[in-house]
Amino acid sequence: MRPKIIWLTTNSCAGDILSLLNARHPSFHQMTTHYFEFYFEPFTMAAEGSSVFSGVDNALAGRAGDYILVVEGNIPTAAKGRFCVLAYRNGRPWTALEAVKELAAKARYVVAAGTCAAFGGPYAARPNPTRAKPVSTVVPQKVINVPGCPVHPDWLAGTLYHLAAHGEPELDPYNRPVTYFGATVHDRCPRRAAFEDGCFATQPGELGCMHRLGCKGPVTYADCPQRQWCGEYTNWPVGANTPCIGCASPAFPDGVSPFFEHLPDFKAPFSLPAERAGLLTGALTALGIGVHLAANIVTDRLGRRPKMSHKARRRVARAVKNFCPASLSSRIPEKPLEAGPT
Amino acid sequence: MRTGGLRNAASGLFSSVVLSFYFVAVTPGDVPYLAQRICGICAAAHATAAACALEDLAGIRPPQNGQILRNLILAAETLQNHIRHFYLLALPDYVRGPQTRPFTPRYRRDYRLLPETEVRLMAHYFEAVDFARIAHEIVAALGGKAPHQHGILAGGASVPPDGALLLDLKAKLERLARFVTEKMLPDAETIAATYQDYFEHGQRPLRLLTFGMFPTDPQRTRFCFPNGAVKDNEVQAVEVNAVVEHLRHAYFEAPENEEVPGRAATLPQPNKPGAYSWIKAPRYLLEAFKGGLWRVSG
Repeated sequence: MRPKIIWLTTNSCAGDILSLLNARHPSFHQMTTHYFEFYFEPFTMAAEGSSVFSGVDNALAGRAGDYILVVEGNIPTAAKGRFCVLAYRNGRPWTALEAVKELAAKARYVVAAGTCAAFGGPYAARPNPTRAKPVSTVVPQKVINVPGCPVHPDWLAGTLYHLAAHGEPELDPYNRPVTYFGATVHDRCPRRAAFEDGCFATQPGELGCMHRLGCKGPVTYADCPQRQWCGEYTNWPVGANTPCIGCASPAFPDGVSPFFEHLPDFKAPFSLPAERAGLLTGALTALGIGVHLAANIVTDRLGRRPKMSHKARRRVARAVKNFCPASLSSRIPEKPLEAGPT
Repeated sequence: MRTGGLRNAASGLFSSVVLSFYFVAVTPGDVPYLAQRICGICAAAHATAAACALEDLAGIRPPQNGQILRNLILAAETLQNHIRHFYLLALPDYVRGPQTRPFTPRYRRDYRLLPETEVRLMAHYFEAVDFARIAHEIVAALGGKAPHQHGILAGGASVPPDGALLLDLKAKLERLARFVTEKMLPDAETIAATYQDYFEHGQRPLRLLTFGMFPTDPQRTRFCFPNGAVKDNEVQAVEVNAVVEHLRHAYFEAPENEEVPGRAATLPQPNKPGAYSWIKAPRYLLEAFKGGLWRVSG
């Protein structure tokens, strides 16, 4: 018997189900026919309107522990959950808050797919007007968190398969499977040598270490460097010469932004031979990151940013300009651009 | 939408996409990455819009190669989007799949295709799952991952292609093109021919709007799909400042007069009477226009 999956898409971009559709082996087709039964999944199911509820009703009427509940997206709690209505059920709005609580009560396991469901993610970013919360805060039981923005198909399918075949996998303190989230991106990075040697990229598109461009690899636990994305080892963000933005991190996005601002490190107050400088910055950076993180946790300061004044916006415009140096962009000296594409 | 003057049909989004609140407080350089998180299936389109807006703000333009690479990422993602919308989202309305979930339960009537046609189109459905991924592989090759790629940035793109990569992308595109011309288009024609009366449902005046897609030069003056507005069977130039937000039926506090995006406030009212959607309705010249990718001809 294939394990039954009930998938709820709450406040999110649907990127996690789309990412699962990018699975290679097994493909999504094989997943639905051979390995899992997608008993209720809003993206692919043919049912529409009131007919969709037969799946939910059957599951709720059946015995407990019959299905695995997968939640994609976080749960808005303001206005009694009215910020996220999944459907109109029996004529009244069925909020994500109600649906997740109702279906979690009989689930064998609850899995949070993607950073929004696991930790809040972009859809709970400051100022969070919907008071959106991770799944684990609205259901009583343990939630297995499989973060990522989006979640990697292997992480999710692998976790679901492990749950069905062997029970709960080994989890870290954030309830993430250690297999996929046991080491930092930095530790597994193929550009680690560039970091040690002090070969830092100064703008996106260069081949060096992305540390100075704000890479959050040192504080992000995931196996992207080895597993890579889409198809067979196609690529990953650092492979695309851009920094890791820590999308699988519990702090994403408030605590890991600005994405292009590097984690603080120490500058050597004396001159060093070039080949030694890299080694020293390497060691000191690791220390600096630790201090930085601790400071962040204490003060929560990175996420708290004031509204921008007009002056600040001008400053930022300048910063964007500098961020795209002349070698990369052709400046337009004459009249300011009109808004719009023509 | 008024159908045949008999009844109104409304389609809305019940779940609030709150990212728009968020951008007031975020570092501008981050916006191309964050804006994507609005939508998983059209992520690169949001990244492109954000990158263009930042470039306008800073008064810069990407180099020609950066422009081409960004076009490639967006085009590959659009291909993925079309394939998935047609096969995964629309096809099950016309074609009965296997007697298992997710293909059951389904509509109980008006399946008109011959059984053997249904079998053929369903086989294409499962092929389409793979081909959509191949399109996403192109996005990932040039943008690191998909959805939510990293390659589209204010100022250009980030992956300089080499010979091997170019060959890889060409080979993938060649397979995709074959799938689209040999399977997807004939399938769309089969359904269109069988359900001709559906063209009469939900008709509204022909009003189309596009801002131009895939610029062929970094100054964004020429496009593969040019910009234009169609009204009263006439093609007009696009007036960007004629776009306003219409909030009467959205879960937001509606001002007396429609405001232009950017000046308009976003004040959620989740219990607003008469509202049915979290999407702000854009209006062009105070009328509803159908937006998207279409070709201006003639």
